[in-house]
Amino acid sequence: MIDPFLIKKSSTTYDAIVVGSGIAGGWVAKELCEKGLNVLMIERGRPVKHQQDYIGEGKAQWDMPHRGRVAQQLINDDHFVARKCYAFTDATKHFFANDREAAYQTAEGTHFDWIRGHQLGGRSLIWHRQSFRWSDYDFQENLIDGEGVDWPIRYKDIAPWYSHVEKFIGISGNKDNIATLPDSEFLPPFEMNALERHAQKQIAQKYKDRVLVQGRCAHLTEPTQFFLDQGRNKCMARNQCQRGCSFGAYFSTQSSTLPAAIKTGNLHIACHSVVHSVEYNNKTGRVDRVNVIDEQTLETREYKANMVFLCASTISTTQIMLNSISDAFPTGLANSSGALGHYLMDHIYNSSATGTFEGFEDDYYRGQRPTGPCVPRWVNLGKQKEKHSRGYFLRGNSLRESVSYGLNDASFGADFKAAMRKPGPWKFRFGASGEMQPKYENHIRLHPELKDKWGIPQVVIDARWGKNDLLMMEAMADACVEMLEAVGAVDIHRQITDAPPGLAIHEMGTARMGRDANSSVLNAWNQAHDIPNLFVTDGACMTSSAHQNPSLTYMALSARAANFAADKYRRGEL
Amino acid sequence: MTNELQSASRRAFLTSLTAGCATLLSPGLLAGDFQHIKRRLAAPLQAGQILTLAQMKALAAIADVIIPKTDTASASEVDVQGVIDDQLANAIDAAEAKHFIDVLDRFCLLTKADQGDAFENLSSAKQNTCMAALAKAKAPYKDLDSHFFTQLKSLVALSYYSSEEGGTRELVYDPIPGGYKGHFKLSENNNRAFSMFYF
Repeated sequence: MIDPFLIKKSSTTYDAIVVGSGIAGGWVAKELCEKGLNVLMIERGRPVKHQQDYIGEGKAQWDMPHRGRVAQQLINDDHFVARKCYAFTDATKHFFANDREAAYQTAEGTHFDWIRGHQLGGRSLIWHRQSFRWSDYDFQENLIDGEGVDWPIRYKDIAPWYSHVEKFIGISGNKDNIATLPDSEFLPPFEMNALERHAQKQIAQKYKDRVLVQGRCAHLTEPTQFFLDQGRNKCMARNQCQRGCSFGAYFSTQSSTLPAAIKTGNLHIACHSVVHSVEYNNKTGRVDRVNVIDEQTLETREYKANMVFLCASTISTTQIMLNSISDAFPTGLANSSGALGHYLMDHIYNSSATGTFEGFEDDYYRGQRPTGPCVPRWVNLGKQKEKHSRGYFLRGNSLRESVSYGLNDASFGADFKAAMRKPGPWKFRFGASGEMQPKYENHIRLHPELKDKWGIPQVVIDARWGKNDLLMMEAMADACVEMLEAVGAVDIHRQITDAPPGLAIHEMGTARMGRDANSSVLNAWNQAHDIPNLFVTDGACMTSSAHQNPSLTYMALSARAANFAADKYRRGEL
Repeated sequence: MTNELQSASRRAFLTSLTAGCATLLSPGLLAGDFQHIKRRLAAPLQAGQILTLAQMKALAAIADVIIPKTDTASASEVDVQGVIDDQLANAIDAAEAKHFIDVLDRFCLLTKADQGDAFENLSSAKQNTCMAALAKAKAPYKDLDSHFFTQLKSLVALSYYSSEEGGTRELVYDPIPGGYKGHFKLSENNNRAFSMFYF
């Protein structure tokens, strides 16, 4: 379907160029195309066709080399970072970037695992699909402890755009009426299992400030005709999502926004195009072209447009901006504030607890659910009451293991084999997701000498947990244990890992939005303060990280900014 | 190796084995295309990619003690030893693989010294006695890496239950559940677990 829209060289001046084809880029392209603009989407990697190129989908483990494990040699050579991602397997490895070719550095004494997806669709193919709205508490968090600048928007500004994207992509969830986790436009929620229903009752009985609600995710539980007409179908609960889903049951660029953009006839796609820089025209005060290096041949070429949206993913977008030097912007594109590259954030995923339950022996479940229940945020609402500032919520899951529960004892033989036919005892895990403070010192910069395969200066990432983040880890682990005890778990194991930032794969910031052009890169419409026809709508734009998964907010901001830009452009104001 | 290091190594080893548990789908299976596996199973035991013929024979016998033939196939009948050889050669960190093979050799030597013959030549009863001693770190295996039994059992079990036989006949294979059902009784599943994605 996409073949007729793929281009290589072009002398056209497009209405807009969108750099990146992931969650943000897909949404911007769709909205601009539907507004009638002639759009070029630039993607650094290869084309990936829906259904056709999901080469790992549907394979049984006995049909896979090494039973689904990736060969050590390949990991050592090309995927020494990607291997740390929970979703990296033999069936998904082709959707992860080559870490050797796309090299980056970390500052001495720091570590950051940067997980990337360099193909059409980007990380929308391999994301975890948890989709939560932010609340007004989140947009005001920087004001409370003074870290970072104030967001230039509030919940009321983005709420209509949450609705806009939710109706289009499909979000499963339950209307819970919780102030810290506003309801979306929901499809029916995934069911809770027997243990989770028990836990929900226990928490309701014991707490006035906490509840257990079902998680919300971008999966079609009961697709309406609107989704069926797009060729999307019900989630089968296979837990194969990151292999690509031919049912189109979860949101990805391929299943959702790309077909919509293509349907307009206004989209062109330049794959294998690694963006080197964006050209700023001193005479016009605008950006007017994008310099590209061919991903395969290393040849250079350029594309022209009347506006540019950068949606290459947080760090890549800022890498492009830092590498786009001109007399007007000697430290990076649109960087008169000096904020570009700074205030890098991730989510704090280090704290968890797991417990075991007795009973419920005849209770089981069928399928592998793509979400799990959560306890929405209840701490520090409106002002700091804990040792740490900001907040967190708990993500839960309960299950009965198959076979793996029986590996650590001394049993063997026919009795062991017979025992393994049954699932193990129930386990319940809470893992916390906490908000990391935005700090100037957590930043990315370009290496003065080292370059990647395409001759682009490598990024140096310098990020570490701060004092508040470490305090929050302790509080979150305690909270996980407390909630497990409250619902009746036994043999509870509390854990705080020493993992550095990065592996939540929610990197955010480095080109933040703000009210003041002297301290932020983007205004309330994701438009560069310094350059009116330059927009950034991926994670780089984030002013704070909140505690919720960010992708739904990227989508809403992207749709909002694209419609703002398109309307201005149509009126000749951009 | 200190106990702490042994413990850390064991955790890493087991984590690496069980990382990424998930369910699976198999049009290939549904199409019944398993001739290549059947051909390999029919072949006589031979040296592997990293294991010698002697090590493969020992491993096959050990695997059958851990997962014997019942109303379903034994571990060696589904080529668990071949899967383990492949894991050691390709998918497990080289240093960990070498350590595992070294301890396997040591186990074989201790068994032969104690029983007077190679493990694979012992009677079923003696093999079970040896395995029980290994599982509880008793003589003659007291000085062997105390985590070896768990590593061995894990490799055998995960290789077995990730095979077609283990995944579809011992457990319930449900490649396309059709959606998630939270209200579901184990008795509706013939009291059996669903197979998972084990490696």
